[in-house]
Amino acid sequence: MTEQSQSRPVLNRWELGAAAIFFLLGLYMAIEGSHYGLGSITRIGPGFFPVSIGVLLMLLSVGVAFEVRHSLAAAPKIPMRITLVIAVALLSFALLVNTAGLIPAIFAVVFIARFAEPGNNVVASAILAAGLALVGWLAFIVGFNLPLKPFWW
Amino acid sequence: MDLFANVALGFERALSLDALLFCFLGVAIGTFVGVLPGVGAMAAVALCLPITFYLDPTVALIMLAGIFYGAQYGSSTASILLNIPGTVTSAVTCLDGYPMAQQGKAGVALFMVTMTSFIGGSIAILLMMLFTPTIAAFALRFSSAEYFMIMAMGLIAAVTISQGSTLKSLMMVVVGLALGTVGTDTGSGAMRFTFGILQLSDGISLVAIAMGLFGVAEIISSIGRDVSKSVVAKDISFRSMLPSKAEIKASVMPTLRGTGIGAAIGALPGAGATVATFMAYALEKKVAKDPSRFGKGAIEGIVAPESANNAAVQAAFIPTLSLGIPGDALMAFLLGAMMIHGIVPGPRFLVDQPVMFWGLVASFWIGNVFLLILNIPLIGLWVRILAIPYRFLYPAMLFFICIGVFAINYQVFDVFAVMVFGFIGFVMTKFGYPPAPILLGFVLGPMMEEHFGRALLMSRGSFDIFWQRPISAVLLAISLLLIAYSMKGIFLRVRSGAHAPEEASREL
Repeated sequence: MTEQSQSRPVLNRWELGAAAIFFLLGLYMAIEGSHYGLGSITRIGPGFFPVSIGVLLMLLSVGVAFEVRHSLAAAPKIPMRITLVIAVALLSFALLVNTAGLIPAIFAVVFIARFAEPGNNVVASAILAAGLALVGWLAFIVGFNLPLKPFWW
Repeated sequence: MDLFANVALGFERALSLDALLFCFLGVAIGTFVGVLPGVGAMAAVALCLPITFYLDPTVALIMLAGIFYGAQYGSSTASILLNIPGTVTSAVTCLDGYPMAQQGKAGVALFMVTMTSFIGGSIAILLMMLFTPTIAAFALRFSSAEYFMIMAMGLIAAVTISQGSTLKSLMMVVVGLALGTVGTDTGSGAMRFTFGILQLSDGISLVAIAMGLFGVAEIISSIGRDVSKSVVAKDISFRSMLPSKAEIKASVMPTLRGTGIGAAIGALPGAGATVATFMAYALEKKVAKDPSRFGKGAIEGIVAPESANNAAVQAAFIPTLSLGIPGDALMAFLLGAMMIHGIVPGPRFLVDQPVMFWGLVASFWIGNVFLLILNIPLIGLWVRILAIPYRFLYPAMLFFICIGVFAINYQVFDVFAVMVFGFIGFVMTKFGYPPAPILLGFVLGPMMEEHFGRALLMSRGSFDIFWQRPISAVLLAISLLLIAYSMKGIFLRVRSGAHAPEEASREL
């Protein structure tokens, strides 16, 4: 390592960016919170706590920003395929559970989630999804009588 | 004596058929999720929560608590056989447990950790029976000022004791507090941060936050990371489990020391079982005549942390049930589950619900006996469960998470929320922000706000109330000491401004 790079390390933009997000969150809480009414010190209003939290968040994020300014952490590798597939799986459950029923919803979340890993056997996925849908139906609807409908009819 | 009458009352409740059945179910599910690496007790509790709505609250609590301590028993199995901890509280057990398995002593190791878990748990239950009523009786005199201070102290302790950046942990507590303000303000009825979304008027779902930050985030980061390893010992005969006399002798003192550390740490607000296991292991290494044996299959290295984590989990119920203040994120979650059931935690819990409290305590004994039976003769069953590959496991977990989150309020919105929190949780741990303090802040936040307001109302707007009342002053002093203690570390980190990349642990 050269003399210069030791004396002037690079700023870590990713870490600073993360700290900035928390600063903005704090700022938002403080501004929005102040609209709720701070009340008086004897009888604090609904805005008092949010504003305090917002200010605290801003102060802490400045501290964190100083702490991490030369961090060596690299940009996180976000596994796009996994994140996307998991998101689609959860979304499909959310969209299906009330419209199509519990069994299709479970089948969808399990079957779709299996695509997060490349090379998973599709037939095995279908069997697993059907099996878990059956388990879910038996346990939650037949066994514990949760107010969920198994199918759309 | 009063205690015996109460214990008898508790056993009467805990020995009824429904309580026994769900206690067994709870500890069995707990062992199951404990054995499986990457499946935490929290996900299991979230899944079972909607089921328990249809049970008597006492039975519900017995079952949910059973999952928590059952998981502690199961978690050492994977540590010993696979060198992968079933849950973080058994991470230390890997160090000496896996070498023991490689030396062909897997059976002995599994037997000893189960026995010491039982002993550690039992002693901690005894302490719990003695101390919880005393602390609760003492706490009945607390005013809102004390409540606010004790919660603040708990949050500060949790942050200063944890590893990694103190400032980042502290910030996560505040983020938790912030999330806790969303919804209808209990004092004024004002809507806060709801963005006009109707579903947010009741606040963000605790289960959605917990399952997102821990469950979904864990799944995203674990997929593709090949964790399947061959199990060292496929079949463990009962014969191979019996320890020698020397091994038993070598385990007695470490077990007791581990229990002591576990019970003390577990009972403190803010420090969880994981810290206790590391301390217990470090202590054994320090007192050992030949520390070089550690890491090569020293029996002390597995019995001390395992007794410590079981003692800690049981002792963690002391502040949770006597004060209504959770010691760690797991207890915060259990406390949240109690509130969903309409049980008001706090010192009045013991007075108002003696059958529930003592029934729960009695069920701990019964549950620990069940666990002994489940873990010694049936160990072969759990070993086989370890062979389930992750590619089958994670879709099933996702399904559990969906049901657990959805069936709390039957709101599709909560499933969206779990997705968002899952992604946030994944990214923030990559940047070294730990998720556990968020959960603590989220559960404690609304209570803190309420007590803070009441304290100021009582003092007519004077902050003096926080240091003029003696108990509150002591708590304030401890909090300030904790902050002062961590100041040096914070200062050093801020001045250098540079540190190696570190991923925050998703530990509880």
